[in-house]
Amino acid sequence: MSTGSQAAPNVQRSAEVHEVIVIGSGAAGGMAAWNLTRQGVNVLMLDAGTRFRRTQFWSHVKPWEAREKAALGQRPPQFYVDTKEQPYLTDEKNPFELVRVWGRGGKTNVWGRVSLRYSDVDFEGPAKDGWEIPWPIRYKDIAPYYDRVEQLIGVCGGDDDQDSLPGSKYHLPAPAPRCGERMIMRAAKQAGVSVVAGRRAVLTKEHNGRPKCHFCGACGKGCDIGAFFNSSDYLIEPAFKTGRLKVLDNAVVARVLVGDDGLANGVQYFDRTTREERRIYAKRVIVAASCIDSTRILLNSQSARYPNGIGNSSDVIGHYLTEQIRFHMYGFAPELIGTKAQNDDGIGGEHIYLPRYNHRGAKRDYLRGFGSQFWNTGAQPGLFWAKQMPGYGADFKKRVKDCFPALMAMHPYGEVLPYRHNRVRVDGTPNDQYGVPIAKLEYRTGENEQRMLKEMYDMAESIFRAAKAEMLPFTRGAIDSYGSAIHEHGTCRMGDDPKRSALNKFNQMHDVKNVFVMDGSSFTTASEKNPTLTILALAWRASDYLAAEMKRGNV
Amino acid sequence: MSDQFASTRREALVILAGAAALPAQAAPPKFLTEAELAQLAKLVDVILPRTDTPGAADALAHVIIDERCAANASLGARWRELLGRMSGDAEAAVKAAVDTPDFKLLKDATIDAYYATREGLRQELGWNANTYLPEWKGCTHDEHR
Repeated sequence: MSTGSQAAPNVQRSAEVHEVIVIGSGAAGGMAAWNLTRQGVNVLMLDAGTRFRRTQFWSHVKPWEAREKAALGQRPPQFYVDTKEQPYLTDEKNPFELVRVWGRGGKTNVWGRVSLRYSDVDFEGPAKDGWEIPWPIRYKDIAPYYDRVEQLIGVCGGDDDQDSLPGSKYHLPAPAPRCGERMIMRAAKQAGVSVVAGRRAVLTKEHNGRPKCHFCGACGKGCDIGAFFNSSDYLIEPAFKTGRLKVLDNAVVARVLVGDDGLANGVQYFDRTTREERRIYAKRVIVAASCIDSTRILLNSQSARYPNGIGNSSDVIGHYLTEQIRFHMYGFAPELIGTKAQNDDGIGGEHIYLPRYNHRGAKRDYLRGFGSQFWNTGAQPGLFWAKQMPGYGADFKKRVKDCFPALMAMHPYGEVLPYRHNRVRVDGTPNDQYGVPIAKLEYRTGENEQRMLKEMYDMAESIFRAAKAEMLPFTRGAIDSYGSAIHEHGTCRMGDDPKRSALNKFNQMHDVKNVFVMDGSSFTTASEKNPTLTILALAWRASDYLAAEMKRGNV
Repeated sequence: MSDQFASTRREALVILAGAAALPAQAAPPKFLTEAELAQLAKLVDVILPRTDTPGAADALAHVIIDERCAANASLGARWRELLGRMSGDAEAAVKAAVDTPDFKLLKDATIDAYYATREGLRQELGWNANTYLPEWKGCTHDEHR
């Protein structure tokens, strides 16, 4: 068991009964651990990896230096789980790309940092249009938690406030747009679409004693100074300081264990380095291993009492897997072609955002909505776009150079409805190296998404047309691979009706009162937005509720 | 911005020193034969030739492709097939291959390799980012508003 940086000695089938076990160390697990420990609760966190050291990040390693370092046998932290180590199955005709980070902080080490508040356009959508079940919460329930999360982690953004994208008085200063982004904003205005300052969990000024961003643009390689939110530095390290948090490294959780009373009483896990099975016990279990891994754990937690997985009398766990459809469209801003390349790094990712607008005006022939991001706009390394330009030779080389500063990139995201047939399953799948059934992902989008996609393409084209951009070729209707947004949701959804949902509005299982599921799997719908800010707010709210219920002796 | 300038100048010196210390193709090929690597150098230079800035072969794009082949045997086999077909005069071989999968493989790999080198990314495109900036100014052009 480790506290802070100390090594972890073995834990046998422990006689100790922990107050709370948290499975997972990402946004949800980190938040639960931070919030419970500061309220006096002792927490044992199980992390499937170890801490990624900021001093080892390759934040400022140039592309050519990466090659030179690799030749010397050096390598940066390996964030992503290798499917050779932990395979999953997917439908060959509709492959789903699953991105996992096992290790302290999970995907928050390398996340996109886009931090959009959900609004009542999102929370009320299902109740209004009747597709599947309503959310059990509204904006007013979560707004105070958005306030707290933003104050804690630091989110930069503008002062714009729309019904589909709430503003915040806690936003840090928004970074100025790049040249290409100004042109997108100008063109969008001409096309009648609003593009606003983006909201991103990057510190544009010093915040809570943490240093501000130095605009190196390398967030995807991990930030060497921790100038954007990650669960390890912002939540777990502070939780250690309370003296109430312990973390088990390399603990790959297989199942939640159940006692005779039908309540969870611990977890079974495997040590990733020794492959040994271990069992530890607790009075309460928080599942926060990310949507797919949490769902796999729950479905594998089968017993006489819970034959199809713990807390699954509704048979919704594993179903309604959802994320977003998205595509990419590129053009070159005529005013920028042939200009000198500028340093367009900024805070990494785009500085602007196109909020959902299709709930206004004429009723659409589809449900839900879309927004858009614009990362890669400007002079950015990685010249994938040059491959799509015709020709070769000296003229081609000049053309690439001229276009380099001028790239305008658009990435619309559209909500995918929750469908029962989109699912995670563990029945009949092969076992992993520990003898635990792996997940199979079955996922396909439908008619609603096809109809929405038409308007998404119309919108994107209209903005590029208004910008008089020279376009890269694209195929209308094409979408990025399933899973590529890395926004899996919905497979252990919350709702008021226990027959149609697994969790109540505080992320607590309807069936098993001492199990809480706090990650993206708890979302009732996906919306078009990036989920992490909402995961943090929900986990804070749920762990407040858990702490209060513990004080009342209810759980 | 003085920090950025200092960084630029320092790195320029490093580039010069590096160029002097590392003669092109000092190391033997890792996957391809010497003859294959020599032909590949000619082919990548047809895609992105030396102009007033270094070309793909100057930037050792062919060596980078050879390294990738060494790390991935099936990719290596694919390149060996390509080189079998695109032998002889490189200019003519590329011209004849346009619209074929061989051309796409050659062009895409040359782009990936060249524009990730000092010569391609920094010298040719003028990219000088991934550095430390004390402030972010963004677009300062009134005409872009």
